[in-house]
Amino acid sequence: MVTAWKLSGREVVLRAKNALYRNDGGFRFTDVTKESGAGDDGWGCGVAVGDVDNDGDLDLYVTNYGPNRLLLNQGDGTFRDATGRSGTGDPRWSTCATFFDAEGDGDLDLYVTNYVSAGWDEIIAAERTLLWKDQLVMVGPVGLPGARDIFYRNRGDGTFEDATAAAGLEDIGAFFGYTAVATDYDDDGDVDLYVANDSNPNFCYRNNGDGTFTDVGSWNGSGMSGTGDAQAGMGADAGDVDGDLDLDLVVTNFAEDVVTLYRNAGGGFFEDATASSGLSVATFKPLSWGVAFFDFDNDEDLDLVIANGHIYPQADEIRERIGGYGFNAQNQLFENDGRGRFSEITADAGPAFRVEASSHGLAIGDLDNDGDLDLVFVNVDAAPTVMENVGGNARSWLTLDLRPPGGRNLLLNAKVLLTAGGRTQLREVRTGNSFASHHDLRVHFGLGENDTAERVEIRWADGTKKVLTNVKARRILRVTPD
Amino acid sequence: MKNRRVLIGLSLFAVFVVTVGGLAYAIPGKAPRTAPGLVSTYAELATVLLASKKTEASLVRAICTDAYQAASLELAQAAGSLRNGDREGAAKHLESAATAVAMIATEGDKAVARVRNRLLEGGHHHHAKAEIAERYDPGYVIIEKTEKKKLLDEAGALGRLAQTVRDGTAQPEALEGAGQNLSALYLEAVK
Repeated sequence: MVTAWKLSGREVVLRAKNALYRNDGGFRFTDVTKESGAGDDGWGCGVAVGDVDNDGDLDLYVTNYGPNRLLLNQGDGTFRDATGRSGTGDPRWSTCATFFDAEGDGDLDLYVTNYVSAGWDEIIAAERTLLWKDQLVMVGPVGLPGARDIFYRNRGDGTFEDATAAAGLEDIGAFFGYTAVATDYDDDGDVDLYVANDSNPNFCYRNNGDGTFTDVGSWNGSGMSGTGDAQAGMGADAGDVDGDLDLDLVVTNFAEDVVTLYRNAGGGFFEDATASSGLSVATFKPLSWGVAFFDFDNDEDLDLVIANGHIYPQADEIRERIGGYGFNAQNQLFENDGRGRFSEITADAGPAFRVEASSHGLAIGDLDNDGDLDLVFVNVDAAPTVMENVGGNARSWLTLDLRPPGGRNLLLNAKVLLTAGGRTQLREVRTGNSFASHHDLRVHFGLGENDTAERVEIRWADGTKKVLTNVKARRILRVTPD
Repeated sequence: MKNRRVLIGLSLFAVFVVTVGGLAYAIPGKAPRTAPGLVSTYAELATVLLASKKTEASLVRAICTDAYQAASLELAQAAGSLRNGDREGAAKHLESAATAVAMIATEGDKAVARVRNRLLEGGHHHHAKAEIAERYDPGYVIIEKTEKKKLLDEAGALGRLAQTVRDGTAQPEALEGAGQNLSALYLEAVK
């Protein structure tokens, strides 16, 4: 859990440490922050996870307002700070990050989004100067200078180099960067990069096949909404919502704007399917952050969950005028009809979805290993909301615990195609999606009424494949490469 | 640079007027009025400020024209590559054309967007009147929303054309008319 600092007026009254909780099963967690060494006390914003040193365990990268931290897993439940040696301690205001292998050389590179350029004195001295719906609120991001994103190329020896310009990822507009999704959206075997930017067009960096990139977002349909508007991108995720075996994109935006669904039209192009997917009306009012596709009811399609919460505490003063969503707001759950059309079912999703908080972070995982996916929301100025999925496992399921041995990245951006009952589903393993968050890396499939998956094809990140046949359902299956 | 020199000159002149003669117009028994020197200085400044808006419009038009010319050149090169049987080369030129057309739509690339953001940060809106401003995205100067959408659609069409050229499904005459279509869109957008 990544945490920021607590201010009282212009004084820092608490430099909160990040916390690492060990899952003991049965929704019981133990705080192992101290003994793990993972408790960085920077002004935390987000986290990405990956095996950056290819030693077979998962390392942490924490984004901060201030220097970011790379924490290497020592394999015994402890971490050591490798920021200085690695050269990844970007000192600016970083928001989100993602690991991926840009050039296919087997080690994980790192893309970090930066938000605005503001010194500590400016932050502390900030006053409410913007008039928003007759309320005086803090200005930003428009009104503040942006900060450029950075791309670190892994040299493979524990150090990284700033390869932003060389890779064609130079953020020359210094847009207000938020969520970066590393995904092979055009299914050509290399990893592309989609970046949601606040108040500016989003980037869609197509991998040229050699670890350099071309931003094609201005003409492939994913950089701006279907009406040609640059929105206020916050969170993002990729998943196959319509069952056509390619990856669609979703981006959350500011209040009084929709959550945009970009349907993958094939050939590397996207179409704005927000209206046809049924998301327009239900997502228009709240200010949305974390977002994730997941099959909560194991009915063989990807549903959608959205974390909501306003940035202005003053939203509470005019709550009725802005659609009932104040600083604290309900999160939303949408059910997929199997063809990519969503219906909001928040009201019927149980008491946990009636909790109002200012949720930003959102992570998905089967926390109790019972075959359905649970949710964790990270809230502003409040404890996190942990939601147990009750009854999602009434239908059949299969979870794949992909365990490559280390040596080279095989896990991140691996794809899995599972066929059950004649229906094929697609998943891709990623980190740093949603909003500044990291999901359970295990690959979960709902199987509906099927007791067996006829075929499971794992396409490891290096392009090699492993095929399993007639896999029995309702279990967590550990899979290693051949 | 010239405008900057004029502004500095006017500022210095205003300071001089206030220092030397500003108080002369607070004559006892007569209604106070603004010193004529200050008024004339302000008038000069107004001329510069109003001229700067015209300069801004001209500059943004030049940015769009530059992008249009780049797009036209890329289209011509794409046609040439296709005639020579170089499908990959043609596709790359078409994608570059798509990027350039999108740059017309967005009044420049991301570096220009940064300048635009900076102007917005400073509270500068080229179109101050609300009813006019509604026709434009924030900070845009000449490309109206409707024209922006048409240009972005054209950019997308060129990108898709590149895809068909690359995979060999494009018809030989596929590029015919693309230049004329772009020309018409451009002229409509910057009129």
